[in-house]
Amino acid sequence: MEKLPDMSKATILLFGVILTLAASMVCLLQRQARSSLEGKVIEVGLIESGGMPALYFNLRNTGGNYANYTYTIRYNSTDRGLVADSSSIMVPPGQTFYYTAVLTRPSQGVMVLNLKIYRGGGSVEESLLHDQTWIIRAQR
Amino acid sequence: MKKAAKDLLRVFAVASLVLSSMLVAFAWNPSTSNLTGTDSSTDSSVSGVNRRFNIDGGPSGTYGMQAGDDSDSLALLMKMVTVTTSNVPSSPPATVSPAADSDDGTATAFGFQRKCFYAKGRYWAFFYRCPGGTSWVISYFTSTDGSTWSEGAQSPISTSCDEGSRFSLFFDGTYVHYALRASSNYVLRYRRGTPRTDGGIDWSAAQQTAYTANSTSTIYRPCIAVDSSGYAWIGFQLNDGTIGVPYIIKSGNNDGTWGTGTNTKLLSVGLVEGTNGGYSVAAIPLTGGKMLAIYTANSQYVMTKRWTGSSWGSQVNETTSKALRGFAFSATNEGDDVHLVFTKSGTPRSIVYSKYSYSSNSFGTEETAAGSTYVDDSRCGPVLSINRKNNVLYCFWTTWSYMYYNTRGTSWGTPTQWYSNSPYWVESTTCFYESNGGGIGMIHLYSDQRVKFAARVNGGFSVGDMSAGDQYEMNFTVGSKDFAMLFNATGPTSGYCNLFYKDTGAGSWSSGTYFSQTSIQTGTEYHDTNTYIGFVLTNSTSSADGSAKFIVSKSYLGSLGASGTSVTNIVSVAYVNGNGRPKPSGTTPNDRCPSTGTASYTLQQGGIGVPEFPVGVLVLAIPLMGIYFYLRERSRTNRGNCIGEAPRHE
Repeated sequence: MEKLPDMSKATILLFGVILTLAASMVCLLQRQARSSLEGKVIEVGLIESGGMPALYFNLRNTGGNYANYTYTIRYNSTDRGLVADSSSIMVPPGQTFYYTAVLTRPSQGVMVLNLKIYRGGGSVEESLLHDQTWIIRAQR
Repeated sequence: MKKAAKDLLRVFAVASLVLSSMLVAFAWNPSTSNLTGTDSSTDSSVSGVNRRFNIDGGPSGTYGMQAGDDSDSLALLMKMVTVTTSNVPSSPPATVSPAADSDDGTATAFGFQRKCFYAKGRYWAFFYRCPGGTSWVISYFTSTDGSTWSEGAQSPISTSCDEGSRFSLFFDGTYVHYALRASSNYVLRYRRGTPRTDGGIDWSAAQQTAYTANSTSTIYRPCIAVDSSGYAWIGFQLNDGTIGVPYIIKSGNNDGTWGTGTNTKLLSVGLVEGTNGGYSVAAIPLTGGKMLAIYTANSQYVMTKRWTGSSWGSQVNETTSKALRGFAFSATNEGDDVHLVFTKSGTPRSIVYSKYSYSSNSFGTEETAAGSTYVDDSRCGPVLSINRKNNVLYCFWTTWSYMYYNTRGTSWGTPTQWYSNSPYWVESTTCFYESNGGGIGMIHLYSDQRVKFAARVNGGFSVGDMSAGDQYEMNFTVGSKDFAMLFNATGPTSGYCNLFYKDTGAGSWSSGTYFSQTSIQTGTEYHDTNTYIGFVLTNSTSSADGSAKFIVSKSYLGSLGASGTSVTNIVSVAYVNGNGRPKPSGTTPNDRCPSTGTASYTLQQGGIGVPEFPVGVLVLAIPLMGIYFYLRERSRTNRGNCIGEAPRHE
């Protein structure tokens, strides 16, 4: 088999790179465009960093109208015993509500942390969208 | 080929520089020096309400609020007044108990037992009284301004406690806890409740039995405190009929019920409880669940024993001087250290101060808080409190009709004769354990059988002195969107920041971002996980304004529909008892800035609402540019090489 001249190989390689980069750009732009319309309805996470773990959730209203949600966060705090934080929120269509709570890691034992998110203004089980529990251990 | 490679490297180098500058350009939290332009020049207090906040007043004339921006964020700053001190009421003291009362001399006894505090925008005073001269009860009264007092909805809280010195109270920043001896001489009761903004109390549970001694025993002078983990402790003297020993108990529960915890006899050898003699025990909370028991008796040294969080220390430490009376002492904590004052035994009389250090487990050198010129043989003894804004100590005491105080920052000043109520004399007195956001108040009973109140209030803002419900809010408009950013305190060093938005002129607010934070420190910037909103709270000092600074991402505002370079309708307001929503309905602002109208600001470092260009696209496009230049250069080179070349033949 005849060897391709050096120039041809380089050209093919360059065009290959160009195509790859161009395809990546298209994908990136498409992904950004999609991310504002679709994606998860609820994204929940616990960031365990040092003595200040952070609970967060992002709640997107994918409907066409304003929507009410209720969230309840309960945890046993070393300082204050059982802490319950509940609030109702209104989220416009297509918008996202962002929640972050920076907590204090217990000095001993564990902290049991529970998050519940409901659709609407109440907290009936039928409208429960999300229910998750974490156990945060004391810092060693 | 070498030249092409050089070109490629050159392009990549330029691209890297561009990218680096883009990364460095990300900015957040404009510095204070960048915040300019919208100071309010007027002191715009809202009349008719308790003016605990002062967000636009200062001694130097640079009042109000400021705005500023950098390339990525907008910051709004609400200024707080410098630390200043004033009397509440302006002509103290105010009368708390109704005219029909014939209150007992122990109504507010004893100083170390505490019977008053500040919470939810109100002063709270509990005392032993005889309404209408018929029955004796423990009642409580509240006041929003320190002048006008009314009885609380849950008052009286006890009809069977038979002396003021058998009741003690502690406010931990969230809950009020009380301990009292009622019905039986050998039983201690406990209850916890949440003070309400309307002066009521939401009890956590029914009154609990905390301790039951032998039925032949008698309990004297209970003193309650709550440790940093929410567990209640009660110190008291347990007397078997002849000998009294200092005792302290701890609840095993921290939910408002009393559970079996620890019962500790602090000394195995007691004293005879003579007239006003015998031991008194004060429980003083430290950090991390630690506790200090302080106890003394007539003409005894003041002793301590420390709880490490899991066990008692082995040794009792003593002051250099002896206390005149077992109940004539008072103490408060600063971290793990404890400040103590007591009336010194012997003549001439003086009020002695000493600081207990947890790290060395010992008292420091004694100082004189008030010399013999200012002290007589009053039975009340001194009472001590601490201003959490600046850790300045306040010591109050009385001689006959005169009320005195002295303060200590790093050393004691000269005593101040505060007021008198001649021809009546003071029979008992106590004060706040700490400032709790409402200054330092005290209650005392004059011989006219009326309980009085007075407070020294420190203006200015301090993170450690916030009270649950304190709300600092800034409203502004960008383009066609209204925004409200607020900080609502949930405790002395905790709270949450909220951003709400709506179409301009619309009625209801939509929720944008919520961010809560604990262990807040002055001057530290906190933000949510997305870096959309953040805040910085800075303490006032005696020479500089404090502030609440709100920071919000411009791109985030743009994503909510804001656009343009003009920030208009800027107003800052402060509320006590805020509910975390913008402009709480039915709540009058404590203060507003500016007093009328609004302020505006033009963004200096780029507008809001410009769509973000994905950095990723730039990262991909730059190599493409490099390849393009490379190909172009190579094409030129090739063309050059072809000139004059002979055609190739096979």
